[in-house]
Amino acid sequence: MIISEIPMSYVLILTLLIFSIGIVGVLTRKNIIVIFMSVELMLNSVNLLFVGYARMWKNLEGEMAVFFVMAVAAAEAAVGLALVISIFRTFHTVDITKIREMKG
Amino acid sequence: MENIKEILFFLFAFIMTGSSVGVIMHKNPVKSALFLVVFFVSLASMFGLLGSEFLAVLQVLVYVGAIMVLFLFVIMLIAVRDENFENIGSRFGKTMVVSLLITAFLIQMTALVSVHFKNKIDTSAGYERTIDASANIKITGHAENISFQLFEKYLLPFEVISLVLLVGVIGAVVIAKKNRRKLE
Amino acid sequence: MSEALLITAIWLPFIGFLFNGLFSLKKEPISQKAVILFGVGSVLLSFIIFVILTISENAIIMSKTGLGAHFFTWIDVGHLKSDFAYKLDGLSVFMAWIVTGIGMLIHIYSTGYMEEEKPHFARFFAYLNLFIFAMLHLVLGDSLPLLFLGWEGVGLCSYLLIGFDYDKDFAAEAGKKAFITNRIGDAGFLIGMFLLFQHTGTLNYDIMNKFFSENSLDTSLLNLIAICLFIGAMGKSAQFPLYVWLPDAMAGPTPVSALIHAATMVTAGVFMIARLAPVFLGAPEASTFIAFVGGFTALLSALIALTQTDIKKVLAYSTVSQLGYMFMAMGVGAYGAGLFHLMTHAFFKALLFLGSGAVIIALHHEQDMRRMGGLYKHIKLVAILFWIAAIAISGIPGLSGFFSKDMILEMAFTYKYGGSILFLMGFLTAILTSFYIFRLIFLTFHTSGDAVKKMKEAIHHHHDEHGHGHGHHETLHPLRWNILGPLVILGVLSVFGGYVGLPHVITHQTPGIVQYFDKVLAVPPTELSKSWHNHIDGGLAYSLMFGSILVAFIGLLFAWFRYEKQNNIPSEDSKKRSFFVNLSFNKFFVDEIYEIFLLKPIKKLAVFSYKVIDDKIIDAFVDALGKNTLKIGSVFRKMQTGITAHYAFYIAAGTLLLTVIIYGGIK
Repeated sequence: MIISEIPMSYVLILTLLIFSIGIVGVLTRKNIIVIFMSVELMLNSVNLLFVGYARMWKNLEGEMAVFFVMAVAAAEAAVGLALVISIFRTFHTVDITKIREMKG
Repeated sequence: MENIKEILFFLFAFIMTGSSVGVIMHKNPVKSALFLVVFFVSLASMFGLLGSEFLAVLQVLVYVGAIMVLFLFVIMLIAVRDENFENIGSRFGKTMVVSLLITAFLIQMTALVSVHFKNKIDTSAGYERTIDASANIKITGHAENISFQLFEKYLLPFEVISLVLLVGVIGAVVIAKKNRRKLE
Repeated sequence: MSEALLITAIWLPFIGFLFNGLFSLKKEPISQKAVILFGVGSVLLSFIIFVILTISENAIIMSKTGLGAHFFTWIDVGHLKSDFAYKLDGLSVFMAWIVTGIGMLIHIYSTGYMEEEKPHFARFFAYLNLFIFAMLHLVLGDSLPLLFLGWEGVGLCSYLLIGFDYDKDFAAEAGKKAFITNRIGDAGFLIGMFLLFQHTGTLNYDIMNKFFSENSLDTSLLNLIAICLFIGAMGKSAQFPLYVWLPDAMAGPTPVSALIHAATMVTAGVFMIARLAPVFLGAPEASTFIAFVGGFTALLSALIALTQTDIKKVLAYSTVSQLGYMFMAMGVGAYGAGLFHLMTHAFFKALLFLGSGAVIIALHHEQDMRRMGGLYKHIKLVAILFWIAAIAISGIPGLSGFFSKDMILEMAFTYKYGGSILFLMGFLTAILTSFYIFRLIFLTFHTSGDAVKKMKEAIHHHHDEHGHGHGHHETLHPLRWNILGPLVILGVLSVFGGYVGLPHVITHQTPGIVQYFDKVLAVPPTELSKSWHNHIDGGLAYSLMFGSILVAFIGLLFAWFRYEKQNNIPSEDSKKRSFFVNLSFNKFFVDEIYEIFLLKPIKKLAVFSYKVIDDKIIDAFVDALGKNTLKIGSVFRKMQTGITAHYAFYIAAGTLLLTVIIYGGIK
């Protein structure tokens, strides 16, 4: 078996990159579903970070966190997508720039 | 292939980055979702590469198998119309502003990471800066270890999370149902 | 038991007030019987309780501390502790009898006087009950804050009742005048109260009396306190220069004039001086000032009363004048004499007012004496009672006023510091009093004129002018028992009320009432003010008494000669009047002087404050504050686009900023 090492800083920078892409998606897109997907991107980049650190410290705590994050993300996706449906029924659009109930 | 892991890491990293850019850039939400599926699969591979096979399987099962199906379902239900497709180019200025901001964030964080690792990890003994995957498999890679953890130490959170899932399901039903009744 | 009774007696009128006050808010007037049951019944019951208490608890009431009753704690801040606690001692029981007794009679009288005012019947009795309630707090409270509460309460009721016909401008104006003039006095009173608290550390009478019996304050300080408190009394008891509101207060219904502006409320100042005897007796200079203010007020208002033609105005100035007598007595240290006169005055002045009310109501609200005359034939009983009251006030021997007035004049004469001037002022006032009161009687009840005929003429005149009249009053309004009954009782009191204070020269001992007050007041006034007086021997006292009897008859004869013999009815044309008559008729132009020297500058200042300070500075500042806030807000409201991505952007930018701030400094 070939033993090889992946530097932690690689993982960190990959995580950062994906997280940043997620932010850009959240900030620039109009479609609620795409924004939601970008949020999933951000969430998963953090999962990656957890796993990376868990490996680094040889500790299972990080992996347990990922396990729970996944469970919560599943619940969140269920509720979030229900909300999307509800929003679409109310406003007949999923374009968040057209939903401006919070306008001051 | 001495550093096949490193090569694999870069491969998956490239796929992940590319597919995530695809998620946020493609104007068709269905294709964005498909890019996301690619992202999740390569992320699962990355987990495997880092030594967490259990999580890799879980990732595929939960995200690709459950969440992405839900996503596609909803997209098909409401959003596959031309008027919902965004013209990405028309929002170029705004995207630039956000990207600049994010670039600044990236630079800041990268600088932080490099500084952090140089100062804290490299200089002090006892801290490892690399991930020794093969060594870890023995300790943590097995589902057996994870299940011990899960049903002994994390028993209460495990039960709580099942409750959260239940509430999420009921909540989703209630939210989606309320407006339908109003419409009728 | 007796404590509970005392509290019940004080709060009973309040129940009447609540009942009548709440039902007066209804659009449909409630039955007059219900109003009378609560309005008169509560005061009657209160009076009966005071009678019972006086008899059953006589020994406790006559002791120095009296019967105390603690109802509830009102103010408890630091050293200042004030309760709703009452004190029924010799002085307050005396006042309580006058307030509830005369109050009750006037309540009964009002049921007759006001019966035509159907929509306002309940409101009137609500105010009267509230007045009795406040007045009982004034006289029965065991501390100065409670006295002040009552003091303001009666002021409020006075204001409400003067302006009872609030749709008439002059009544509303008179109410405001009374209220504002009283505020000036109250400022002084409050300062006096503060000073007293500062230097004695208490406002409770018993503790204060104990303080004064053990310590003594600087005389100049006591003088200051006494003067400040007296300024309050000036307002409430209508002394120069704050007396101007009382004549105008006659705009209120006549029973109110009798109860509040003659018998009870206006004597609050006298009561207050008696209550704080340790302060005022320790302030000889202030006392001299009080005596002279009293004397001057007595003389001035008697002069004004000479020529007034409104029957109630004459009585109002007479009231001011008699109050002047009382203050003269208090000033020279003759507390017994002052309070004695307070009582007899309450009797005969209430009688005079109620009598004049009877005349007014009989003539269907005619108040001008020039249109009266010859009423003796029509309402004999009222005329006789009026004569009794007039004899009492003028100081013709045998009736109540003689004894009290003579006692005051004697005490003034013996006063060491300017007693002769005081006596002269009092003596002159006595002549004038006798003259104006008999002038009133002759003009109203006698002379060749016939009020009934004049009334008819006035109605016809009215018809000619306006083409329509407000009703045909061809005959006198009938007077029933509820109007005449109180008059008769007050007539009896006016005759015999003076016999509690038979003068020294007759009985060769200190008058009973003076002994009484020497016993029950916190400090015996006669003893403490002994050094203020010269000794007087019997012969001189006799000659003083005969002198005052003589002037009373001179006044009577002169009035008879001028109005009955010569039939000299006052002219309505000011050019036919002599200079001095004009001066008196126009009340020495005091109101006009106030208008020019006080009101106009104050109004100008107010207009200046309003137009310049308020409009241009304060308002501009506040407006600018608001406008600029709006402007800033309109800039920042643009941030609230309602687009979720913008909010997310702010969050991301904020996070970045925080990261830079927290970690940016790592080297």
